[in-house]
Amino acid sequence: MLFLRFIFSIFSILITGYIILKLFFHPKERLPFGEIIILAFGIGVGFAGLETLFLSFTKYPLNTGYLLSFQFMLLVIAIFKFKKSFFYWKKSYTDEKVTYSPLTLFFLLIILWEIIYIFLEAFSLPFTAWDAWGNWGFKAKIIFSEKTFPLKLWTELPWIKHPAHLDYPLLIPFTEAYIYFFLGQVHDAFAKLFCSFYYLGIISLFYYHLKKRFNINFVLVSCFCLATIPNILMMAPTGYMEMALIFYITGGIFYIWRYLEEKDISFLSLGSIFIGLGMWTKNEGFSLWLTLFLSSLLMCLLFRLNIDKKRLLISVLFIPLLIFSPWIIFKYIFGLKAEFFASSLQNLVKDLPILLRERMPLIFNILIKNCLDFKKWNILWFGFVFTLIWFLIKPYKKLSMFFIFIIILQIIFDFVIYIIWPVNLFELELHIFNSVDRLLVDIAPLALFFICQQLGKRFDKNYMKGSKI
Amino acid sequence: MKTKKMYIIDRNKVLIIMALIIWCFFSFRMITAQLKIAFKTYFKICALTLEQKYRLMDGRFYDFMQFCKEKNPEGDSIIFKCAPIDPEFRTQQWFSAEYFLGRSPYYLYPRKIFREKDATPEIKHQIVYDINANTFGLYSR
Repeated sequence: MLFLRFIFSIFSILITGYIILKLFFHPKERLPFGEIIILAFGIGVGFAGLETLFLSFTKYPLNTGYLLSFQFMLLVIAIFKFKKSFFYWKKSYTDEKVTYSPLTLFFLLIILWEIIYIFLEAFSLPFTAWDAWGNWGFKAKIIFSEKTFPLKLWTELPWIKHPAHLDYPLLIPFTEAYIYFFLGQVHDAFAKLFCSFYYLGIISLFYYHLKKRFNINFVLVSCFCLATIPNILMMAPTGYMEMALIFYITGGIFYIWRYLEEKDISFLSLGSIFIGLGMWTKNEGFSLWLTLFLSSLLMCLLFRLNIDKKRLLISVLFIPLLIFSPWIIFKYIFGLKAEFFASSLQNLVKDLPILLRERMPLIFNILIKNCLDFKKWNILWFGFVFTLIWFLIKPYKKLSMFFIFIIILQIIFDFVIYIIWPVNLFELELHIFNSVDRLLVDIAPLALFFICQQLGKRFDKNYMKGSKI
Repeated sequence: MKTKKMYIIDRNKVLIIMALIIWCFFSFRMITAQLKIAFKTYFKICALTLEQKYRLMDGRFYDFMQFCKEKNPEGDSIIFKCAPIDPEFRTQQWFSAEYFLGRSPYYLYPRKIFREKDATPEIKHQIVYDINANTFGLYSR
């Protein structure tokens, strides 16, 4: 019974996402149905989470019927508008013959196994990782128990702040609470199961974006590499929100990249919305948004893109900010700040030279050791450095610089945060050890995508047809 | 010119195959470990109830939390302490104490759990938990 309720909650999310896409997203090309489903999931989760958040400010207690009433209204509008064509989505067509090699089918099997394994591990245990229960799960439990967003807890009580960071955005706790309302109880394992869908989502988005350009065998092998990055496998079933963040941010960057390539404005809007939802997922989303904006700016300055550059920069800057603005206002009104930074930023400028001298070697040391740990990353970062050097000598596709800008700027941003982090060296070391995996995993799919772009020359459909790129 | 192009293409292919072999070498070790744990453990425990899963994870600490739930009414404010107090930073005891201190609000909500340093004088109850007791479950991280 619980399982049916869970499926119903996921189904409601998918339908909502589908309706929103149907109403507002009209790309020039025909997207595959699988991609539409994944997009519907991403948009639907965003809508369900934010809907729960905003409805909790009304005087009515949250429950399934109340939450579904708005989605039902959306459904009625959509059916009224589209009538018979509501469930009809233009099929994508392809004139190419797809041939799978037996070896690729083997890799496909492994990808399927990894997906099954992630779902199985997620459902086998309750939240086991600190942030999963201390931060996201705890807040979701409170929202479900109180049937509203208990503002008082966020502003007055000191007891809550130890497990939960109050300044973290709330999309995921509200989405988990949304699932709990359908289940009628707090159930960690189902919340983790829900989070595992993001793993599936990341692989799917990666697949569809590579498939646009490359031979299917190369695409599946690349997806195999993504699906078996040990750190991603480690985090995907735990209920950590890195997977949700990667799904939104990487997805957003992929669609903006697609806009750069295909000049279709709907991809730009979709990408920007994904980035906005990524900002609602974790604080790191904010830094990734800044990084993306700076990278877009650099791309506009350094390359002839043949697009409306102003539109790109305005969309990347303002659409995510507009989506995220309610949380910024909320934080400002209730004075929520990152605890660590609240007190000591004033001394920063004075101490900066000392901090730089003292901390840079430590940060470098830990970062490089972590990147070279094959048990955590396989040969991803080794491959990335190698490909980067190759790219700088002989770039296959110069636009791939977009990913290099994002990755390098994000690493610089992480360095800056570690350098100004107001703790002593001993505690900083512990903090870096605890967090560096998660910071690197945010950019890992982008690094792999970049590698695929550079190494995939031999498997490029255009190259194989002999056309000039 | 043609020969040079072919040479580049082959080099590209060889590189990809080499990288893939290394990738597979590391991945397959991991996948065999996954298969082992999935069939040995996860398939068996995924059908358990949530309570049984909590007990698997937190062992006697979960039972202790259930006991505290029974004894303290909802909405009550409680100080939660671990004994021995103030273990040395980054020792196993310190990590255990931090875990129990952080985990208790999750289990005991809607009871409000305070750390000693945040406590106010009005709080009348306190819970003390002995971290030396072997209380972790099989799957605690």
